[in-house]
Amino acid sequence: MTKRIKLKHIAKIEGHASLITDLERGEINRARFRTLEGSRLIEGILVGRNYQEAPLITARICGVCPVVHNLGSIKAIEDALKIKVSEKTVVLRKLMMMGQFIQSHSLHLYFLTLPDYFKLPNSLKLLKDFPIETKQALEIRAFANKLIEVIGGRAIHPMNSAVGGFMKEPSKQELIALSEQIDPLLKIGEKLTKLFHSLKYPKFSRKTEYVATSNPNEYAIYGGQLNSTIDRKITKEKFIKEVEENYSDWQLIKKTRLKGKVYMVGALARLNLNRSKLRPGAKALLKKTGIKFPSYNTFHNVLGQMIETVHCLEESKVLIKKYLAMKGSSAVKDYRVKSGKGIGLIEAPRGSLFHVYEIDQQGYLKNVNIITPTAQFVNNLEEDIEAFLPDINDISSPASRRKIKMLVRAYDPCMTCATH
Amino acid sequence: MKKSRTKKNRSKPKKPVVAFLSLSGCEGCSFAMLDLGGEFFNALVHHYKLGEHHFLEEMKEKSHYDICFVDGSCLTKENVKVLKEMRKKSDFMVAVGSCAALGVVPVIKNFVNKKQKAKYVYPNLREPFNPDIHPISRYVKVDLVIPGCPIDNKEFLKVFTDVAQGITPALSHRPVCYECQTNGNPCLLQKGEPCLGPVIQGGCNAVCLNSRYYCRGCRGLIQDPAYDDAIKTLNKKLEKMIGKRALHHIFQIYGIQEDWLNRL
Repeated sequence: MTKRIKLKHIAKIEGHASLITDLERGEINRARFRTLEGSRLIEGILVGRNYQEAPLITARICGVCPVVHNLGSIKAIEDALKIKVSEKTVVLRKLMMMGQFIQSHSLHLYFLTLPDYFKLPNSLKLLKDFPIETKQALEIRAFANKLIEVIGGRAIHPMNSAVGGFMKEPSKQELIALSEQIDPLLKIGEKLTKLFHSLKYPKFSRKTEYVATSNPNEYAIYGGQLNSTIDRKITKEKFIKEVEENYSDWQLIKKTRLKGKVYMVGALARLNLNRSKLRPGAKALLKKTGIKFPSYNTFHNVLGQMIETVHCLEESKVLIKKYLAMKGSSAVKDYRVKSGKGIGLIEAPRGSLFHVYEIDQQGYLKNVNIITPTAQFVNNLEEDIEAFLPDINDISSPASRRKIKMLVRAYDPCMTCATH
Repeated sequence: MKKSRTKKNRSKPKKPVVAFLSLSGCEGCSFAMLDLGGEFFNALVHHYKLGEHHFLEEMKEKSHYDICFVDGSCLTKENVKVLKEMRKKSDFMVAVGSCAALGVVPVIKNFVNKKQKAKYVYPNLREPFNPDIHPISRYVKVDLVIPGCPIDNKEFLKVFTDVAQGITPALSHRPVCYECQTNGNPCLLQKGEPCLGPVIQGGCNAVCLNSRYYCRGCRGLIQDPAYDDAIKTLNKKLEKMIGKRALHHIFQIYGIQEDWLNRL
C-alpha cells in the first residue's frame, strides 16, 4: 500500500514549491519536488530577439539573484562575439558579484533558515526575539545592496552593466564610503558565524558529487574553470555537451544529471572544492568550526553560506582598493556583431549557472539555453530526502515535516530560477 | 450613545490586516520591499497586522484581508484561482510592479507563436498551460497600481503607509524626463539615441537614465490623452532611428505595445 505525504506549499524559500513523498510498506519509494511556478518560457522568448535584450530580460528570471543572470548573460554574449573586456570592468563585475552573494546569502541565512533552528514560527517573531542580530543582518544586506547599486545602477535588475563594459563609472566617493563600512561588518560577520556554528544541524551524510567553478588565483565566483568531483578536467564546453537535461512530459524544471549521476552545486560544493582559496578571515572561521571537509552533510550548506558571506566582505575590501588604484577605463568597448556561440559560466549564490547562446550574423539570438543551479540540484535534493527520511520516526508528524522542510531550505532552492 | 462614541474614539484604531500575494514572476518586487530593511518592518508592524506573506510566515489563511498587495502575473491556472479568491477576501487590492500592472517579459508571448515557444523550451510537455499574459486587472478589480520593474521601493513605502491610513497616495503623473532633467542627465534623444522617457510615467527618479541606459518604458505610458501627440511624434522619430521591428521589440518587453499602438 502506498502512503503519500504531501507538503502542499513550502514557505520561506524563493518562489513556490511542493513536495510529494510516496511511502511503500514504511519505506520511501520516491520523493518528488515540484515547482508551483508557471514557466515564463524565457529561453523561447529570447530566440529571435536582439542579443542586447538578453541581459535585461534574463535578469528578470530572478529578483533575488538578478546580478548573476545579468552578468552570466553578458558573459555568454562576450564569449560568442569574442569580446575581451578591460581588467577594470572585470573588477567592477566581481564587486557586483560580492554584493550579490552577500545579499542573497544573508537573506537566506537569517530570514529563511534561522527561524527553523530556533523553532520559531516565522521571521517576524525572530525580529522581536533577536532585535540586535536582526539589525546586524539587515546592515550586512544593506551594504551589499548599496554595493550593487553604486556599480550596477540599481540593486534589483541592474542596468549599468553592459556587453563590453559599463555605461558609467561608479562614484569613487561612494566606493570609499562603502569600503569604510567593511571592518565593522566583518566583526558582525564573525559574530553571526558563531551563531550559525552553534546551530544544531541534523546529523546526516550522503556521499554525492560536487560541481563548482575553480580558479587557481582566487575563490572562484565571477570566473574560472569548471571543476567537478566526477570529472576534474571538464571544460564548460564539454559540460554543456555532456550534461543531460530531463525533458519530462510533466515537469517544468529541467533537472540535470552528469554522466548519469546526480550532483550538488552551491556553497557546500564550492567549499568542498575550493576552500583553500578563501580569504584569511573566512578560512580561520571555517577552521574553527572543526567540521571536516569535504563534508557530505547537506545541512552544512547553510554554514557554508555564512563562511562565504565573510569571504565576500573581505574580498570586497580588496577589490575596492584595487579598483581605486587602477588606471584605464571600464567604459563599453567597441566591438563588432557577428555570428557565434558562447557560454557564460558564473557562480550564482546557489551554484554554477550557465547561459548558452547562439547569435546570428545580424545579432539576433538563434538558440538559448539557461541551466540554473536549482535545476541542477533538485535530483540531488530528492535523493537526499529519500536517504534522510528513513531516519525520521513517525514520518507524518509535524516534527518530521519540519525536518524535511529544513532539508529543503538548506539547499536554498530558487523556484523562479528553476522554472524560468 | 455619546459615551460609547467617546470610548471608541479613544481606543486605538484597528490596524488593517494585510496580505502579500506573489503570483508567477521574479519576485524582485517582494525583495525591493525587504530591501527597505528596518523601514519596511517598522511600517509593517506600526501600521498593519500581518495576515499573509509567503516569505516571512508560515501561517493559516484568513477569511478576510483589509488590504492585499499582489505582485507577479497569472501564468498558471492556480495563479488565476488564488488571485480571484484573494480579491473576494480583500477590501482593497494593490497591483505591485509591472508584472501585475502590465505583464512584463512573459507578455512577449502574446506577440509571437507561443505554442512554438513552449515546444522549444519543453519539447515533451503534455498540454502546457500557456495563456496569453494580461495585467491582473483583466481578471479582478484593482484599486491601485504601483508600476515599475522593479518598483521603486521609496515610492512603495509611501503608498504602503498611506493606504494603511486610508489616504489615496499621489503617484507621479509627470514623464520620466522631468526627473531625468532634474538629475542633470544629458538627453539621449537629443544625442540621437532612442529613449521612451518623454511619454512614460515617472516616479522612478529616472534611475535607468542616471546610468545612461535609455528608458524602455517599464512604468507604462502616461494615461493622459494630452500625451497622444507626443507619442505620435516620438514614434515617428524612433521608427526612423532604429526601425519598426526593433522598436516593437522594446515595447513588448514591458507590455506597452498594445497601449502604444492604440494611441497612434
